[in-house]
Amino acid sequence: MVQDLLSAQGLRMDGRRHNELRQIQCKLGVLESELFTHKNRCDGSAYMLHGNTKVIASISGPKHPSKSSGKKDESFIFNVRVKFATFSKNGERQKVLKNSKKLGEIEINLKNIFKSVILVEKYEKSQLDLNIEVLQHDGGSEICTIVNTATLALIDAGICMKEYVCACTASLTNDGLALLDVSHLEEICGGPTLTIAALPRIGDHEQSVAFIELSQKFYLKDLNKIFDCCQLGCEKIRTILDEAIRGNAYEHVNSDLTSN
Amino acid sequence: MANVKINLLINKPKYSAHIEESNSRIFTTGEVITEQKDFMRGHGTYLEDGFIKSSVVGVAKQINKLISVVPLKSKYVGEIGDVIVGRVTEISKKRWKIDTNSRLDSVLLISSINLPGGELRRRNAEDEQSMRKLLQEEDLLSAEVQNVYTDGSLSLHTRSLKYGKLSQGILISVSPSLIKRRKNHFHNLPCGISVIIGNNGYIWVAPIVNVEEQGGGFAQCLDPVSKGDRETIVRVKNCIQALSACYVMIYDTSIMYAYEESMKYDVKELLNQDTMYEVGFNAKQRILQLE
Repeated sequence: MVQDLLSAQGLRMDGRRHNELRQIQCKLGVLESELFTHKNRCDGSAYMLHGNTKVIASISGPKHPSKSSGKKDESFIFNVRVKFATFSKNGERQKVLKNSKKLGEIEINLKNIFKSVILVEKYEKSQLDLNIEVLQHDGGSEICTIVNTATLALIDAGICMKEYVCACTASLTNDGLALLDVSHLEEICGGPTLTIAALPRIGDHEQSVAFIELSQKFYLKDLNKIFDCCQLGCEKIRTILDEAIRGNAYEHVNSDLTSN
Repeated sequence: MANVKINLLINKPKYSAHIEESNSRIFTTGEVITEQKDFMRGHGTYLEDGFIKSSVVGVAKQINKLISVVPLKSKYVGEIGDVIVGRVTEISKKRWKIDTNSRLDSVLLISSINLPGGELRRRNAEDEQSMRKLLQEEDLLSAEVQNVYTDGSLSLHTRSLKYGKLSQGILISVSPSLIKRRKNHFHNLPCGISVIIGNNGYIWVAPIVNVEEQGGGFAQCLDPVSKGDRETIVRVKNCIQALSACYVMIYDTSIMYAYEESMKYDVKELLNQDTMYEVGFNAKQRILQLE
């Protein structure tokens, strides 16, 4: 039997209520420096702190396909590279496998998620590189923070997309109550975890889902409950991302830009 | 011991007070711009469920019935007649591939350059083989956009004495959206320095050389540059970076204002983040007063 994740007072191990997210802080354009030369310059970047997970994403491109990328077809080349820092887990130095199955899976998932949102027809014949560095990671559902950070970086780079992609996790207590945004501690205590990456629309409750993943089995009757909880989380994350993006945008805009 | 100064992004000052005055509205990705059906969608927008939605974060612009969203930061999108500064990346048959900060590399055909000395080109294999004598990989040049192909890549030409290979100077790269479109992009500043403000966000700062003496635009002038000139070049470069850090539009007047504001500091002090923002912000204030 799973250990109870919710106390009698309705609080979780880290003091959150069942429908509360962990703390999220984000910043756009973090790798932007006037001192970089044009060759190693990135075109967009973002940093996100979500609970104890810290991720940096950077975008390079759209640019002319490099010779090493090999594929010389008409279509859009989208490269994703995910890297975990050696010190990212539990504060211990760990050997990082470069081409592990897990990393490959995350990379493929990210590729599919973002290829469905980016307006690909605008970037024919060009190459876009997305580099992700996980500085610290808290538990298994790191793809959720990675997706959110990558969305911010893509927006910072001015890539045409249909919507924000927001990812969120949810779990279930023994009493059948859905828990939003599962932390590492809650995840290892058991309970099924559902991760979704959705495209929440403003003023529209129906979301398109770009990615869905389930860690364990659970009863079908609970699916709707968990799914709704995840969607709620995605909407909340969208508001947070939107705030960060607008804050960053107002810093940019001066009266000149509109007159040009 | 060396004195090292580390600038954290966290400490970046915010000068957003005067920005709120501008009434430009920011649209974010996926936001509905208009619900009316009789508009046309332009760049930076897409159509879904009959609504025009923004696909980038930026400022909306309306020309008659055409709505487009100008992103805050993006790659350079070329237009015919733009002045650009670029770097040769590759030499292939009859053409140079040039990096112009745009989505795809641009091309400079051998038929769209003036040969040195106004010589006419003989169409044979020899002049294709001698292409590397004119422009090598990693060489910088200024050119004009001749044509935009359907896939968005640009074709350039240098059929004027003012365009051609760049010899001694500094290249600065800023966001293309910060470049103000003007009649003239070649300036000889009163401080004795010439700048080429490329529409693609690449800016070339160099000592003034006499164009007539060069003849053809592909000869390289390697005369030593005096120390005073070099210091001025670096000061102008630091000023342009300060303007870029404060998101001030870059054109001859703004560069001169920043240059005048910077005179009370040493050249190396301008690399300090606080000084940089002060110079940029003061220049911005002066431009606002002018308006």
